[in-house]
Amino acid sequence: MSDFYIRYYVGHKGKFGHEFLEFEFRPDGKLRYANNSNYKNDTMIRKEVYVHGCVMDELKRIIMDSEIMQEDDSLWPPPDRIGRQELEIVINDEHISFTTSKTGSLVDVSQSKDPEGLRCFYYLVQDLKCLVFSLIGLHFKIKPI
Amino acid sequence: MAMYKEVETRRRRGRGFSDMSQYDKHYMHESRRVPQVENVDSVPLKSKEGWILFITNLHEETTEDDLRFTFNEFGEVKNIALNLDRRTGFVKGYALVEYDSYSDAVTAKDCMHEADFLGMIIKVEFCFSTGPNH
Repeated sequence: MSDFYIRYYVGHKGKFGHEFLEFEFRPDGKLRYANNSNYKNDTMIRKEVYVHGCVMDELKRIIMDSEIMQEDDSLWPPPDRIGRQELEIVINDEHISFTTSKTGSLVDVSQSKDPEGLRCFYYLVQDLKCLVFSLIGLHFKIKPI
Repeated sequence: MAMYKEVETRRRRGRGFSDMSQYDKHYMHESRRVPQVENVDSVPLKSKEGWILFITNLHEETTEDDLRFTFNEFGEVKNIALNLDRRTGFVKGYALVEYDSYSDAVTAKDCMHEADFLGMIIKVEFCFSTGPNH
């Protein structure tokens, strides 16, 4: 069985506490999701569910199509006081573990030192979030954020 | 017997490997090792209000109406999620479709899996499962 794992985190520690969103897909198909926002209602949402292999295959396709595995975070803005993002992916023989600050907008991306790489990251993260929010939202009938 | 991967021989790239705040968050760190069990697709799992199918290899111009029209053949479609590619604006290629009953869902799956839909051979499976150790 070839390994496939992905974890994404975005968050910051501010005056409302530690606010973050994190999800991971494990090789056995388990999707783990956590969202902690202290701002409005001080609740932590934690959900777990196993997804079918076809979902893992689609996830892998989305990742490979993005070409994120060829990128490097060395020129990306590092995590800072405003926040951090983490993206860790294992696909077969490659293991990436990227960290960067929160991405403001596409303008910030195009003004960075690695606009191509950061743009790739930016769009992949959006696509991943869409998939996870649909999975969690429909399965548990909640608004995931 | 579950086998644990002992040593990572993969190519590694990224600041996360030298960021001490992430030291114990890594996939291969001892505290996070997952038994490398087969991802055996066991029993489909019911969602909160219905049964959800996952459809892939959709044509990039597929609309919700296209999906609803076709999948309503098998029972009333209660929910659809058809996400767009955030960069191109076309559909990303997958969709979630929900039915109230298992029999509607399994009929739709059996009829539409590897069927031609808008010129593409789509795949249709149950979206969620009970996991490898049911």
